[in-house]
Order: sequence, then structure tokens, then C-alpha cells
Amino acid sequence: MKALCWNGTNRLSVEQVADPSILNPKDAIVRVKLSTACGSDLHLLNGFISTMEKGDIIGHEFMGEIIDVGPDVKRLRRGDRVVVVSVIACGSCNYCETDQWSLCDNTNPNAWMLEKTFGHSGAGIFGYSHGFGGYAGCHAEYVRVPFADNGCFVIPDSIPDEKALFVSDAMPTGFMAADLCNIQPDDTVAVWGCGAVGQMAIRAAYLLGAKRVIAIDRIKERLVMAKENSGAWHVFNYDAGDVYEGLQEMTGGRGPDACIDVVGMEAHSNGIDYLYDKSKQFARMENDRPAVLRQMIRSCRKGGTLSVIGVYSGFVDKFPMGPLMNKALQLRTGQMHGQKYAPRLLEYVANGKLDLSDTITHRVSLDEAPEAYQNFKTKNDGCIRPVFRV
Amino acid sequence: MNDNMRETPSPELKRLLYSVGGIALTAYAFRRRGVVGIACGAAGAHFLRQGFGQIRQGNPQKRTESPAIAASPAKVVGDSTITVKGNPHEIYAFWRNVKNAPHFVSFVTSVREMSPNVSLWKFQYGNRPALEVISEITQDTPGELIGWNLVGSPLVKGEGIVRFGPASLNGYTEVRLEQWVTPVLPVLRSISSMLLNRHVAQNLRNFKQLFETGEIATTRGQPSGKRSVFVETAHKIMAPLNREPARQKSVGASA
Repeated sequence: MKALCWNGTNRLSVEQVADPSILNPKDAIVRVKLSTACGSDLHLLNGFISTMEKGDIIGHEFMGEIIDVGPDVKRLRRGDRVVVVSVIACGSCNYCETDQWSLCDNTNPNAWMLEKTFGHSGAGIFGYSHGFGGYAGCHAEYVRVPFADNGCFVIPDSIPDEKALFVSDAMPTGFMAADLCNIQPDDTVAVWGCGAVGQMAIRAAYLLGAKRVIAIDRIKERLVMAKENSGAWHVFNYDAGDVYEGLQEMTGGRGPDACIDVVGMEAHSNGIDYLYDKSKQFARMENDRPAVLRQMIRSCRKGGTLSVIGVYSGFVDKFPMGPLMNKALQLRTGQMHGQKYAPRLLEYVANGKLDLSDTITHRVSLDEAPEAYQNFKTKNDGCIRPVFRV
Repeated sequence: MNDNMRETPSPELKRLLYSVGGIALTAYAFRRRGVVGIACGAAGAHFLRQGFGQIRQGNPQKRTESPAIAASPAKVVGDSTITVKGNPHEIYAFWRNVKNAPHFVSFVTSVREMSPNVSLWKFQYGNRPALEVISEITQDTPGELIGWNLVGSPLVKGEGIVRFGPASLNGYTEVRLEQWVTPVLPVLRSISSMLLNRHVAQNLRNFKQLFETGEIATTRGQPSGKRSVFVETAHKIMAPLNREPARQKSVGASA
């Protein structure tokens, strides 16, 4: 089959690889119909996620059709049209039973790698480094899905493929980002990053009762989408001014009640701190650039909530612990618990309350994926989300 | 400061001094070579062992209080604890059934019961010749612990104990596994300790996965693009550590 392989920093290629097969009794094989690039893939592309190996198949957001199931798969049948959650979870451990699926104890064959740095290992993730299990990713014609009964969700006939696709990752990620904020009716929420997950976070914040949502980015098309499609109350281009000043002005000097970081470890900012972080990250003296974290801590109202859903990989420098503590901020974070949110999100999509397919800006074949990723990375041609037809 | 404190450097300081001295001597040995180099290298290795040895062998506070270990410093210890869903009795029963062992103990391909307390274990690493070891159960308290000795092979001498106790989480059991082996060559002590700790922790993870889900997560046999020579070689070496795919019905308690 054809698959998109990582061959080193900024090197992707479409290669012929063997077809996957059932390895464990709870596996299923999915024929991929649509897959999409996620912002977190750019960290792989840029070489900032360790434990990648030449030849790894990347991609973790996809939908398709079940073509084979293992003997212990109970809920699925061949021919089912499914969307597959990017996090692999067993459904049996304490974390899965308490709806914290991305913390699953039992799905990372390389748990020892994460235990070395994180202390404990979370769940495996499709196509996202050997530290997260080394599972083959979804930018391929076929994917093996372990614990398929938990990860595959049958798509109702009324939902077209493109609308269902984002239930795999972008929608639950954005939704969980808003959910972590414990939004109250009069709340103002600020969202850093207006890619597909950021757009979803804005929409979810409104759905969960926020009064106002402020969107922050520097890419014009994304800010326009945040305003027009997602309904942001105000959009803020951080190239045009200081984020802290802007947010204080918009909130009467109080600051947003909740701040959402959808950007993660490769944040941009203006000023000397960006050069400092960029240099340290380039020299591998820190893993992540915490520009958004610093801005959120400074800008958030006293006693407010910080929701961090953008991916961080290791250690950050110059983390403002003093303001975090003295302002009594609550920091909530985590990889998304897709299995918890997917049924609810499919319902929202089916009844028209949520739709993220408007973030698809490019539809290309898998053969064109390397160029599409380059476009996605540089944000050329108004690229917000490329979708690969497999 | 009293006299005792002045006379006796702290263990941390001792380890630091040994480590720094060991690194310096080893580095010098590589540059100097010859007889002096060999002597410096040997001294450096001794210093490094003193400096890092204790760290590599794990936290002494976690260790078992087994008198056998205290009396046998040549042995290396591997230990780890994990929390498994289920009560101590059912988890004990699953572990006690030695036929389950090949499903979760790395490198074990088969186990044959010779009597209620004695069994023949076949170990195999990749395509290397198999090694047969007799395991004799020396302690057996249902729902609490199982202890064993490995005998019958000059290459594998060891013993182990697994304890089962209620976890703080209701409905869960703490499983603590301790294993000791005597390395064939004493100089391999540090690396044996590291590998044994990894082996013990992985076996516990395998056990938990098998018991809770009925299968052990694996990626062995999945497709990939063209690997580099380095990665290909590393995968061949590490392959036996990644579980062989089950391709069969689940075997765990949850199945």
C-alpha cells in the first residue's frame, strides 16, 4: 500500500509499504477514505519530537471503512463507516473507566520511554513517535486499529465523510480545551491559535455557555474565519499589538476568565523572548517555546483558568511560576480524551450544531501529501487544513 | 558541626567524588593507552562503579529485606510495583498458573509443569538456542505471595518473589515483583542490574495489560517505510523485547 513516511526533519515521502494485518484479537483494519494533517504533526516535521525513526508512517486523524476485524472485536463489522479517535485506549484500565482515555495504562508498547522523562506513560497515539507507542499512522491506504471497539465510532448515514473526519482529533481536542475551562454564563474566553482546533475551541466555548470569545493569531485568513465562521466576539492580531494590553482593554482591565492555548511548543511571539526561546530550542537547550503560556499567565484574570491543549514535549524555560501562584490561576491540560467526546460530537454534527469542514482549504491525494504538509507548515495559499483523499 | 560529621563525608559527596574521579581517570586512560592507560582505566572503572553503582542498582530503600541478598552482594536486584485491576486472590491465581507465564514473561516460550511446585521454563532470545531452566516454588501463600528459585542452569541463577496486596484504589491490587540474579561475570553487574530492572518492569506491564485487557500492546509486524541501517539493526536487537503478536484469542482475565 501507499503511505506517507517521515524520513527526517522536513523530509516526507510517499512510499510503498506492506499492508497492515491483525496482530492482536481486538484489532481492526480500516481502509482510510480521508485523513488530514494536524498542527501537532508539524512538531514531528520540524524535528522537535524525539523517538521518531526514519520510515515511520505519520498521521493520526482519519476516517474510513472497516475491512477486517479480530476475533474479539464485538461492536464493529466489515463495511462499517467509522471515524477513528487518534488516541488508542484499552477501555479496561482505571483511567479509561474514569473517562481519562488518553491516560490509558495499557496501550503504549514503549511505555518505558515516556516513563524515563515523564515519570508515567500515557496512551499510544497513531503515527506520533515511538515514545507514544510507535504505532503506524493513518496517512496510508490501510491502518491497523488496536482496541477497535473503543477507538472506532460508526458514523450515522446523515453525516458526510468530511464532516465526520474531524471527530477523530480536531473536534475533541478543541472541545476538551473549552471543557477544561469550566465555563460559566458570563465568561470571556481567550483562545490562542486559530487553526482548526482553535476554531473548534471557539465554537465549543460558545456551545458550553461563554458570553464572549476572543481569538488570537497573526494569520489573516484564520482571524477572518474566527470572526465570520466561529463567531469570535473580537479577534486580535498579535503582530499589530501587545496581547496583554489588548486583552486588558477588551475586558475592562480584568483579563479573560479563561485562556486556551491551542498553539503549544512552537509558539511565535514578538520581542526578545521569542529570539531567546528560538535560540534555546534550536540548540536543544529547551524542548518547547512557552510564549503563549507566559502570555496567558500574565493576561488571565485573577483566579482564572488556563487550558493547555497545544502539544508540549518536555521542558520549558523562564516559566512564570510566581504569577501563576500569586494570581491563584488554575492550570488544566492533557492530551484529548477522544473516546469520551466522540459520541457527543457526532450528535452535534448530526444535528448541525457543530461543523468543522469549513476549515478544509485544500483537498489533495495522498501522493501530494508532502507538498501539502509544506504548504500547511508555511501557511501559504491560505492553508488551514489539507485533507488527503486516499 | 560535630567531629563525626567532619570526619565522614556524606554518601552523596563520596559518590560525587568517585564519579568525577572515575570519569577523569577513564578519559585519561583513553588518551594515554599502554600499560599506564590500562591501569588508569581499571582504576577509573572501579571509581565509576563506586560512584554510579548504587544509583544503577535502584533505591536501597525499596529493596527487600531478604537475608539472602544481604549475605550475597554479588547478586543484582530488579524490582518494580504496578497496580492491577482485580482482587489479590484472582491476580495471585492468574500468576500462579505457570501456563500463563509465556504470555507475559519476556523471552519465555513455554513452561511445562513437572510437579505442583516444579516447572521447566524454556527461554529464547530471537533465533538464539533455547535455554531451559527449572523453577522451584519455595514460598506460596494464596492471595499474598509466590517465591521461587531458578536452578539447573549454570547461566541463569536467580530467585524471585511476587507479592500481592490491596491497593489504595478500591478494587485494585498492588503487585510487587522482585528478582535477583547472579551474573556470570561480576563485571557485568551494573549492566545486569539495569537490564534486570527493565525486564522486571516490562514483565509487570505485560502482566497488567494481559490481565486487564486480555492482550499485550504491540507494534511488532506492522508496516513501515524504508528504515536506515542503524534503525534496522536496533529493531532486530530490540525485537524480542516487543511482544510477539498474539494473533489468537485473548488470554487475560478480562477476556
